[in-house]
Amino acid sequence: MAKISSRIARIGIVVIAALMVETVALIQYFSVRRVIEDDNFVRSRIVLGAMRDEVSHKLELVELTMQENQRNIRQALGRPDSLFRAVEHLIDDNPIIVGGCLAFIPDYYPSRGRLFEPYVAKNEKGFHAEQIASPHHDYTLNPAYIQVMEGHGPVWSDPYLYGDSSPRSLTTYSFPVTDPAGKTVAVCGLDVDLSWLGDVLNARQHFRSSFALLLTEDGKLVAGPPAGRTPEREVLRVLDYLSGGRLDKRFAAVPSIRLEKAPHWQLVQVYYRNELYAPLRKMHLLHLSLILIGLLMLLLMINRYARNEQKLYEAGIEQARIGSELAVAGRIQASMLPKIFPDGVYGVLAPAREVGGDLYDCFLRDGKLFFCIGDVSGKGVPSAMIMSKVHSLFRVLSEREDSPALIAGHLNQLACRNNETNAFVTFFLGILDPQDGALVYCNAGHDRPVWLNGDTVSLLPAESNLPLGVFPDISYVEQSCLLKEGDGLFLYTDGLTEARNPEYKLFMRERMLAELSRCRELPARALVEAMLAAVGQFVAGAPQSDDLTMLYISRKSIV
Amino acid sequence: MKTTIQETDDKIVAILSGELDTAAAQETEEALQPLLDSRGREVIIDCTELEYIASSGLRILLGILKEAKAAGSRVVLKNVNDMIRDVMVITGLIRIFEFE
Repeated sequence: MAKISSRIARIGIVVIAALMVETVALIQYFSVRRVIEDDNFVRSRIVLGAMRDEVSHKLELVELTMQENQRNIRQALGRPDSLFRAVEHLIDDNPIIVGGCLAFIPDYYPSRGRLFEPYVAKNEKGFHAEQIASPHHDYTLNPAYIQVMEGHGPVWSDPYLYGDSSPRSLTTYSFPVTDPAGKTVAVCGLDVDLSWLGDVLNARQHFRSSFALLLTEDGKLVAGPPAGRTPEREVLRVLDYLSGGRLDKRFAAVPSIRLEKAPHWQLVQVYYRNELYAPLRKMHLLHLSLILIGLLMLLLMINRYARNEQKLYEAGIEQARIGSELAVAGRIQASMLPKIFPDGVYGVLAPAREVGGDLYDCFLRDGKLFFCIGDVSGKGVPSAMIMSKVHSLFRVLSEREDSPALIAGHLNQLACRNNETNAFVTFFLGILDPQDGALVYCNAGHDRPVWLNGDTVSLLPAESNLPLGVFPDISYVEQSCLLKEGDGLFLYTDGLTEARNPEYKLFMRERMLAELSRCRELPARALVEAMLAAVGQFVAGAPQSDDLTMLYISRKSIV
Repeated sequence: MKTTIQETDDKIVAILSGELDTAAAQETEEALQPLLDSRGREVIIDCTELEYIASSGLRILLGILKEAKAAGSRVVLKNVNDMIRDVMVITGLIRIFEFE
């Protein structure tokens, strides 16, 4: 159950993180896109403006040429033949004017007939002049002629293609020619070559596929990109959009600008989406990759974290289990200690951990008091197990044996058996006859007990036989002494003398002897408790480093 | 707790430095493994810099002693300080080790 919700939580975290990061990425994407669009808008206005200025300028030059040659033409009005010359001069003045005609009002030159239209054209060889009015070519029906004659001139025509072999794009600028009196006597039409438009439109394209179009006021195409650069269908798509259709989604923007003066042509700039947003696309791809990598790493880290948490959790459960088992073991160990003490006897054992390696025991058999104290090398569970063994053996052996040396010898044999860890037990055992105070004892490497002998407090004279479990087959030496009425024997383990305070100072044997002197008169339990209090006071809260055991045996007649 | 081993053809020397308490016991026991392979060479344990030894430490020394005796080697404890000597006296181990 925990696993499923943990998995959902993990996936949830990654999903939320992904959403957050992607939201940020999207915001950034659209912001950058906006910047690109704004930036491009500004640039397109500059480009369109420049194109417009160039086109306007060229057209204005035609108008200027016309103005500058007005006088010339007016002067030539007197002699019709000199008109050709005048027109030729005009054409020559401006490289983009490739032809010019003068369509006179009917019957202006009666000698030349009703219609008279001198025409000069420029070609590779030079100028070609002819009169082009004829019954087939009645220029008075020409819309431009009519417009100008009605006073609406000058007028620019819609561009048209002229020529069969290699058609050129031309437009005709028609303006009135007035005589000195101010009467309009002819309409001059100047054919303007528009082939330079291609260069104007293409010179400023800084994207590979973007292009510009020049359209008339009502949307007819005047000039556009070369066919090699842009396929015709693309141009048609844009024209379709400009006449009210939908903008194909491949185009990003189609800004336009209009010539301020006649002929009010429109310049249209076309941008492609993939070109305009190319850097954005690259950036977004990079971001997505980084996000993906980041999310993957996040997922890995979360998984590892979850796994660690799981491990910790399981370890915690295991630890709790071990802790509770140790607590039970501790209680079992405590239950092995004597609870009821004969008069004049009292003992206490405080293990450093849940279970300990110290032991003590005392019991009456046949009116004699058998007692012991011991300290297994080390601490904790391994020592506790050995302590258990020794304690039980002591009981068993003491049921039958009355000699401390023999008991110790047997204990040693049994302790040496199966002793792979080289553990050893310092041990002191004694048998006291409370009737006469005879004490027989054997010390196996343990701290010598304190003998409260009348007024003196000193260490009991004791041999240091080897501790139990070191070498097998050794014989132990026992000793004896006499306890007077009121005398006592204070047994302890090094947990007492080596108790540390927070400054790492040890309790020490001397302090113990001093304390015992002070408590000399106290009954057994009070004495032990006083010593316990003295240690507690000295230690002042520092952690207990070793098992602490005390056993006080005093001679009181058994009632 | 630092343990250094120096081996020659006729003896093997272990230099103990610091406090050999229950916490350091396992690590020290592993470090002193070479001493269990005395092969008749003299085993010298230099205790000049050994400040303290707990019963767990004595256990390790006993192990080395038993192994050495079986292989016919001597075990010598050099320069033990007063506190450690005291412990050796109380436990009677003073009689089974050699001291210099």
